[in-house]
Amino acid sequence: MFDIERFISGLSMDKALERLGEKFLKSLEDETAETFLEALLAFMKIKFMFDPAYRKNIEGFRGRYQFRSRDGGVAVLVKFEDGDMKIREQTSDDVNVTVSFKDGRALMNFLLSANRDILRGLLNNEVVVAGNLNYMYKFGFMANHLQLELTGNLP
Amino acid sequence: MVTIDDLSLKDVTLDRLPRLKRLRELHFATRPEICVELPRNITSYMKHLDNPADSPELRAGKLYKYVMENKRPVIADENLLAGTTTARTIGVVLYPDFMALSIWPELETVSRRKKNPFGITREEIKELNFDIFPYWPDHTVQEVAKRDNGNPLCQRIMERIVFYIATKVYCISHTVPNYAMVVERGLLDILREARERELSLGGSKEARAKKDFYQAVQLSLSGVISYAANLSREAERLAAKEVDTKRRQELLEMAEVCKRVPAGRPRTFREALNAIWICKIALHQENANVALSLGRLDQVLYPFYAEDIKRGLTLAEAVELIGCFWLKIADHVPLSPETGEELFGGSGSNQAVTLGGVDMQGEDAVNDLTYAMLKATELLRLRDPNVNARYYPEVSKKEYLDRLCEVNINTGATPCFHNDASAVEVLTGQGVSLEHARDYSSVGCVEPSSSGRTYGHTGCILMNLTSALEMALWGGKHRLTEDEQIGPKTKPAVAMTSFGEFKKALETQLGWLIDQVVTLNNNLGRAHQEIHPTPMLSALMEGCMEKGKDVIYGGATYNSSGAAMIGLADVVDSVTAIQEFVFDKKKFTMAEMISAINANWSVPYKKLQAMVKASPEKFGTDSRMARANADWLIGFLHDTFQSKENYRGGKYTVGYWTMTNHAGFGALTGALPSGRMKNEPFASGITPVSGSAPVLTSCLNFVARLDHTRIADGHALNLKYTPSTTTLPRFANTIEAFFKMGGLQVQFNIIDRKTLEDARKYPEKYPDLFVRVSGYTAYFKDLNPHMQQEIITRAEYDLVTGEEQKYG
Amino acid sequence: MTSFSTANLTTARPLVFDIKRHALEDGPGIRSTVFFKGCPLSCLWCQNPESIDPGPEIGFYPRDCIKCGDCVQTCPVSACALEDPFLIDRERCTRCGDCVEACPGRALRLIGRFYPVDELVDILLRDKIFYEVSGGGVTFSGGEPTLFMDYTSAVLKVLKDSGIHTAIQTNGFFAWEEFGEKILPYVDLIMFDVKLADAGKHREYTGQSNKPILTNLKNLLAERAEAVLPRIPLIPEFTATVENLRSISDLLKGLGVKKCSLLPYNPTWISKAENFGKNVDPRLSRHLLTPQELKKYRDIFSWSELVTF
Repeated sequence: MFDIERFISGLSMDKALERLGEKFLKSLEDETAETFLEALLAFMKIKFMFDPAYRKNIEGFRGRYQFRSRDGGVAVLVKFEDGDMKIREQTSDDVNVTVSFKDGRALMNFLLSANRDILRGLLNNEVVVAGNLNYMYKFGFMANHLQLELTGNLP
Repeated sequence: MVTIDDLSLKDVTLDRLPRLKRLRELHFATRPEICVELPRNITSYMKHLDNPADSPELRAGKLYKYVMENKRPVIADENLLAGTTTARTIGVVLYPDFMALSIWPELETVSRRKKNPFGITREEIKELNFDIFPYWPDHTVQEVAKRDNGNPLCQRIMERIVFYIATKVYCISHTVPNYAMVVERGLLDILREARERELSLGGSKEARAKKDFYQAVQLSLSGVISYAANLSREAERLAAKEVDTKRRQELLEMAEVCKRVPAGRPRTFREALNAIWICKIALHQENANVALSLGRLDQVLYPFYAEDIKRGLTLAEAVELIGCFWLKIADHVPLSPETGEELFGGSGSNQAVTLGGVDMQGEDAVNDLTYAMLKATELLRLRDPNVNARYYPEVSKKEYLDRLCEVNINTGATPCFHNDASAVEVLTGQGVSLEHARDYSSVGCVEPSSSGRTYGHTGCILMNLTSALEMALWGGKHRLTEDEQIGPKTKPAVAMTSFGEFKKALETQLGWLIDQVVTLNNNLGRAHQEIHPTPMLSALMEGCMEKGKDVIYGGATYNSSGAAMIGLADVVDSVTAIQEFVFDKKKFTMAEMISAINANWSVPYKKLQAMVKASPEKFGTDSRMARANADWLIGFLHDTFQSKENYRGGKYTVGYWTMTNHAGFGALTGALPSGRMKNEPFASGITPVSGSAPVLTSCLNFVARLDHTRIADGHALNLKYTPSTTTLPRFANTIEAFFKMGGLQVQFNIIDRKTLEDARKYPEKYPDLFVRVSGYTAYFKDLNPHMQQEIITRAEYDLVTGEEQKYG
Repeated sequence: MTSFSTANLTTARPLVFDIKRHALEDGPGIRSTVFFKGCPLSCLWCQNPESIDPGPEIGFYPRDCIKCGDCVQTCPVSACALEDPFLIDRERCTRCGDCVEACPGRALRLIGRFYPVDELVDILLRDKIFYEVSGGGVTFSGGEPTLFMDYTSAVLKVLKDSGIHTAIQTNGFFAWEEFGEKILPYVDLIMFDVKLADAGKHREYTGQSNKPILTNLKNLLAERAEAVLPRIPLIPEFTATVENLRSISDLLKGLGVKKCSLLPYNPTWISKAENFGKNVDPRLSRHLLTPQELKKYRDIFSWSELVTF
């Protein structure tokens, strides 16, 4: 996981949003989407910091998510609490939902409606979700919203 | 009684019923829109007014009183009947404690998706995302069942999709409420009975639970009555503003109707229809409408119809009222997220209406209203209601069967045909009394169920039989879930030395799968008991009042749970291929068979595939081997499911109908020993694999002679006839013969391949082309590509030659 | 009795080349039709060319061929060639059936199989209920079912005992006495072909004289007029000429016939014939009759009830 604080230090709010947004969009185009998860989480976090309308999504929301790549290379715990989002490189059993994925592209395919190939994901056993699926649905909304906003596709 | 001479009612046309014509056009021009009224009201009640200290029944009773009282009365078009399921012309209903949250990720894209887009406004997206959905993540039936049972294996397996689906996460519909009660008594009378029963009880703990139930019934019914009163006021309000005198008169009449029913007993045909419709709306608020079926409307409504005819109602007016009702029934569509669309999409609400057949004494019950309802069906050609016709060989009249066939030819897809003789045997075999069995109607797709007395959740389980076959081949593993040991470890197929050994392994895997899915259904049933009792449905179900129990606790007179099996013919053909080629003829080894399916029957295995596919030992032929295997499998499934008890003390029954699931599960499944390639759809229902049953009479013989008493949850035999060859009386003859041999149900698409292929290419040219899927009807354009392909390649029989047409 | 002999044919075991179930055009109702192999006539327009020869033949069904070449490997006389279209050298082929055994996808099939009476009856009885509900039954056709009088008779008897409506389609070229004894008592309907009125043309196009046929027709009408349905095939340029049809019409009227069937020409059989390696006479039409033509022919028989199934 890369250091978000360092990445945006010295940047204005607008610039930080722009740079992380670009990074997120770029991660979608990448063949393997290796950096998809970290780019998504970083952009999400900065949006929560700077965009009050978006922050409304997590006001009063408490949820703990474990993301894990199948090969063990990635293990990220994401905690939403009191309008704040925390990202930690660790594993925990005390979560609402755990998402195990084959690779970044598989996760992206699973999360983002615009980039979806549902059958492929299922056929290749690419993503397995354990726990409370409703938390996943909420996270899915927040992730999709970011992409739609960046690409000018909000309804 | 039949008094009309022209059973086809040739004089009644859409051109002479301009209101129906316009409403039909409006229906097809309207895009479904998500409606937030119901989730808004439920959420707001739960947040601010619910008292968790109340019993589940009482909580539900209070909730639905609130929901009905706060439901907006909407009169938006010129339909003669009042009341709408949602506040939209065609609404998508969201049930927040069921599956509404699954649409959350797609809220901002659902209006623009390719298949079946739903309209939604920005404000509604915001409201759902910020106000409504956030209350629910820990309060849905799915998650409550998971939490209460420690996220058990049975539920985790369902989330892998390919094994089974337990539909109680969506709702408990799939039943026929007692609408006779609504029109014979009126809700106030039912409410009074509940009150008297409540007052007669003492103070014991058991009595308190019953009292809560009776209170819940009163609360929710009073909510329904308030809603009708609101409709009446709304009609008056609109009438006062209306300048057109004819329309004003209609609105005033509507106001009168809603003042009277459903509280009181209806006096006219129109009042009776509207009473049923308002009750159905109420039930739609309580549970998602998945096959919440209407029962024998031609019987229930006949006295009102006959009286009105005496008073001067014309047949055309009767057909117009029925048409209005049919269009009302189609005023909402189920919610389906993209994954659901992709795999299982294209379904309506699948509400069955049952016509004809015999009465409780076994006498012919077909009457004039039966023909009027057939006429409305023929004129409107709608996906819902799903019209099911009952026919009793020797008792029902030939001209009735001829007319049913004529409607099927004219509509291409409806009605479907049920054999009373066999259905009655099926039900009495399940402990239903003979009289009650004769009063059966079809639930959802095809499931016979004693009308208004059975809570049978006939579609609570959809199980993919081929997943057990896979596990039998790979010692308890499945190709989709790779190295995970899913089922019990059985001997790997390559090491098996006899066919008996293979069958044993398949029984082990099937038995295990059945254990899992039954456990899950029971867990979900208990979650419903905890958070989602259904007082309104219980008020309209025989037995609940006497027992003082909600249907979800076993209040109905008859209790059962129905499990539909997907992939029957594919599994029988696979098992038979293994028997014939690996063990009997020893043409190749099990190892070769497994390599062949692992390689998806690619080049080095083409000869094996040709051999397997060309074998006449197939489901749906004269093959003794295939028949023995079908009998064995059907017997095993029936016996195993029947040995299980559901959470209400009822039994599990097994059926063979698949909706669109044979295409969905097929898309997820690898190549099979039957010669089927990977991702191809399975055969639907109890239908043979396309291309494997070339002779029509053999096919009908095969299915008719299966033991239908072991197919207690019904079956759908889906056949396609070439239109140019399908004429009377030969069409009627094939049905009559099939039924005399014991066949339970059969349904036909009468459409040729060219039309379907054109409709796939140019959907805009065929907005209302509807087809039989497996059990119900759907608009072809709504079906996903796998399902469209299945319908196009489905065996098509030429009725002149009795042979399957060959293509490609 | 006119001299004719079918002895060389009847000595063969009766082979059946097809049992068509749910047949709707071979008599009233839904029927099963048994097609025998072997015919004493060889009509130039025969629509079931596989039915003339009483011996087994090899049929090829291109749809089922996966071009694996196993037949080529197997054939002992090198009569199969994996060309496009697939070829069996019918001159060389000895009909041994080895290729049929070898073919994995049943694209090659042996046409003509002997069924013990019990087995045939078992198959025919499977659709009994279809016959009952539709007023149908079983039809024997061919080829020529009267070539195998004993066999046909045995099957007919069992069917009659089971209460099944029976019919035969015959070219009328049979020994009257034997027919009267073995077949006539057990059939409800006799569809009797009358092809050409002119004896010379009849011999030219069918290989046999029409004399015995017309004598048989007369006898039959005298004995069981109600059971007889004369059928006239309408083959453009051959039987479907105004002259021939008028002559047949006069003949039938003179015999007191009240009803008959006209069988419109259907050229789709030509490709089937080619699958069996049969040469198709180039004079044969490849088109359906026009409605005008049909009407013209029907008008000739306006005195008669025209039966269609």
